[in-house]
Amino acid sequence: MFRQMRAEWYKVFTTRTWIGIVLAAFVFTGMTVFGYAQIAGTLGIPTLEDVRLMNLLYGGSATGVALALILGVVGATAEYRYGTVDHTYLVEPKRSHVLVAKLAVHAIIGALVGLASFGIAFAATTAAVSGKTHAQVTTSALLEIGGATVAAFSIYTMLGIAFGSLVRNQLVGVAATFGWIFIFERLMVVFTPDLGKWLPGGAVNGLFGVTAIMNGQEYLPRNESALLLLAYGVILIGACLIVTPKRDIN
Amino acid sequence: MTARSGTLVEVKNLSKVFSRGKEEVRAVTDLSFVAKPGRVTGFLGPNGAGKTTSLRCLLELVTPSSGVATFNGKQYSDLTDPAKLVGVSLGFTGLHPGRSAYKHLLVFATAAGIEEKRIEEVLELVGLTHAKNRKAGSFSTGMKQRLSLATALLGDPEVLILDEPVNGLDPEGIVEVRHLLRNLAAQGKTVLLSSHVLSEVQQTVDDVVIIANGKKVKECTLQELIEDTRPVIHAVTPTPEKFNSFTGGQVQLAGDRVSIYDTSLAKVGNFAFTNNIELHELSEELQDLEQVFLELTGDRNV
Repeated sequence: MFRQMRAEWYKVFTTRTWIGIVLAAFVFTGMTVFGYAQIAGTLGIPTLEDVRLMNLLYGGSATGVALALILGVVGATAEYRYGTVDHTYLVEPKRSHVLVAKLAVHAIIGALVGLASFGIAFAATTAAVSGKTHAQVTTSALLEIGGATVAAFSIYTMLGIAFGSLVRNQLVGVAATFGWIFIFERLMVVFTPDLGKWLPGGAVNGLFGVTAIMNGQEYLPRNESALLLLAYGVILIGACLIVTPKRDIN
Repeated sequence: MTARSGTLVEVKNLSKVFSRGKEEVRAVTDLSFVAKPGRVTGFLGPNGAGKTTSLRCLLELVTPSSGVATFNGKQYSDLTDPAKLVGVSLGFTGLHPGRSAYKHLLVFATAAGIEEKRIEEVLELVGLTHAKNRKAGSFSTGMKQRLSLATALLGDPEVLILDEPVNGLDPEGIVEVRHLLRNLAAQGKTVLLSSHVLSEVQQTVDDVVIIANGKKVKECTLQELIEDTRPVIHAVTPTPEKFNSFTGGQVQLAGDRVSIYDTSLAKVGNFAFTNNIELHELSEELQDLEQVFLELTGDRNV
């Protein structure tokens, strides 16, 4: 298993695909933080003196989880797009072992990207509120936001691996992921907020415990959100473990 | 499993049916053959005959509908460290265009538990050392083929399974691969290679398994296949109809040309002499292996 994990690590870092995705996550984070800081106190958004907004700024890294999902989807579907899956399964014919190695490695990478994203959100927030009157966020609250970022990125990257392994087609996988996050989930949150909080995106918001600002949406508490995300992971990974070993690789 | 004992590859009653919606496509039907250690076995058939599907079934990338394929009695997924026993090249696909040749090999050497120094050795073997840091996406078809072959050789395997290994190679590359495969077979390794053109591998293989429409049509040594070739006698005469009474072979008339199969030059000469037939030409032509292959596979488009 350790050999497979090292190979999966090399697969990610011997191409440049990850760089673009991770940079996009960082840009999303920076833009979110600076964007909200600029419009604070307008459009129904609290001022910087409201600790809820400060939590939101430090938790701006949450916007990058979409890219964590893409990182996972691309990690899984690239094997099929370029046909490297042949050698992957020839070296390790027990496909469940390959899936577990891929999930483990991407969970670590997701966590690292999450940590870096939180660092960027922290730095961007510090810069954005510099010289302005603002509420103070406690160290424990910051640690909770940082932990939520790392957990959300890690779980979302694994969800991406599982989803990508099921769909196999990279174009379909990436398009479906963007469609889900930026269209379906957002519409659900706006039009059916009671259902929206049960979706993965709602669970991420609950995990951060920050985003009930714009529409008064109440998300699930942090622990329940974490459990909900894990449940999505169990379902998707379980589906992969059932389907993947039986599929023909043509 | 040592090089001395060798590894027997055995395919028994293999069948594969693909479902395309409501339609069922039978790709391989009741296929059985063996590839022996110390020999190069050519797995031949026209495009679409089921060669690649058969090889993928053998390697369990595709699940057979029925039948089994084994390596010294063990199925592929039951092998311990399969990449060290079976080296596989399934053509020039399977390469990430953004990954260099060296790193491509590093990924799979790591997964297979093969030492990194082996990467330089296989790159040298296939003549790609100079391009090891170039990305596979910039490779020509022939270079991709060489890199795929290098991947197969990584584990110094007992068995090599190669799908169309000379496809896309230049004549020099074909000769190099031929020498390499002959050398590996001489070391007691089992080499199974597929091709849709017999003449491409004629100088490489010891044994042949020929399939058409998913079914085996011939399994024999190359020598036996050569012995199967039928000589044909050609005669040119102003009175070709006189050959209709020839009973020593199978006669075909085309204008003033007479082609007679399954006979000898002496018999036809004697017949012409005793029947007072004027001859303008009498010659013998040996049918080449490619014609035999085409007849067996019923493929005129190869």
